[in-house]
Amino acid sequence: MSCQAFQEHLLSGEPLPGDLALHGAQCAQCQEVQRLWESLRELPQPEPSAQFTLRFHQRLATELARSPQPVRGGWWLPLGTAALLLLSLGVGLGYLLRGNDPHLDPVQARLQRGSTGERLEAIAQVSTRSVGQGDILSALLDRVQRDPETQVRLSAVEALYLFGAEPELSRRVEALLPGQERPEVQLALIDLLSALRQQRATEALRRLVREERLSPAVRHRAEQRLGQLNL
Amino acid sequence: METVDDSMVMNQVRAGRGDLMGLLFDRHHRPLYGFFVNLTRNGPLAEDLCQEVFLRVLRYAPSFRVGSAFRPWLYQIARNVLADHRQRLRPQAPLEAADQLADPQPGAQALAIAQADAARLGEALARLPLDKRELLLLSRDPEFSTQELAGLYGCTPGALKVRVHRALNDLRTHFFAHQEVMP
Repeated sequence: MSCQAFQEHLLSGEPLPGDLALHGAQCAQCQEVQRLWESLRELPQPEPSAQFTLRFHQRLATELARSPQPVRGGWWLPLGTAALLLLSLGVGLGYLLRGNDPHLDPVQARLQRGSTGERLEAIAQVSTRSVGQGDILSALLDRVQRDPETQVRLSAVEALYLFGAEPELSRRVEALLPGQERPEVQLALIDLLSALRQQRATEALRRLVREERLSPAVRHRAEQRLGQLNL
Repeated sequence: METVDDSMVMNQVRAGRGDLMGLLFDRHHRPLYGFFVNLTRNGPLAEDLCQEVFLRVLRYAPSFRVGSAFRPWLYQIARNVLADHRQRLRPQAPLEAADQLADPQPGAQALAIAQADAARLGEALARLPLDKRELLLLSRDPEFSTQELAGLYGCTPGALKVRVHRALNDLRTHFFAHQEVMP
């Protein structure tokens, strides 16, 4: 029974209570199980082949072209959207009542002037909005370019995926690359450009790999993405 | 870090933004691929299964419940995809037997397990029935809570712990049995 209690406790990930710890120290079988349990987390995490991402995006594009997704769902879908809208309105109203600039969109205000946490929260909030709001897109691009925190810049890049349908997005993302001094943000922008899969992305990546001052890691990623786009 | 929550992205996918599937794919395909490789020991098959999961996410997007966690739903689909794959194979040979008997695939070769212990662990794992292998891999995934896993398996956390305990003991049997025959 002690063996079973000991081994079941492993799943919780919590420290062993005294009696179970004592049992574990004396029981060779439980020690073996514990060792295996810990080794399971060390199993190698293999990477898919370089072509896999490309193949998936091609298949996804085919799938979307074949059956463009209608707005589906039951009666709960409009209710869910309404709930998210009310949430956004509530946050916005709160900001207006707190005396912020009433001419500035509350999310934009938080993106530009909030604390680090508020800026991250505002970026998360963007995903609850309908796409196509040019001001929000500009505010996100501005954060990628100017925010003092790398974490916020990276989050803003991630939020830009939501604006993938914007025709000018690729050009505007490309314009951010030369002025971006942080390699991790450069890498995130390259991933975004590659996901946009537009001709401009290919051109931007070609220009980037010709840049002499590029760090080796960034150059490697850019060349890798370029290879995928050219296939 | 995911500041744009997966569930929110998924809500947009179900509202017709299928193009956002690329974002969910970028975030989740690597661990999901690793899960399938460790289950099947077959890299190319793991890629096919992984792709099928994300295509089903797109197809079944309307059934995603607003406000629920995305990851458990994704892995529920992954388990279904694997079960369907096994079902298709059943007339020829069960997947477990195929795994144990098949020569390592080129994809599996590329995994290049560095340490002997890890290699032995992989072999012991491969000797387990698929359902136990799957349970052990998921229960060692730090992204899943016991509660979420119990939900995935449709049982209580207590019952889940018993299942893991049994699977672990079977793994131990295979691991040390294999060690004894090694020179």
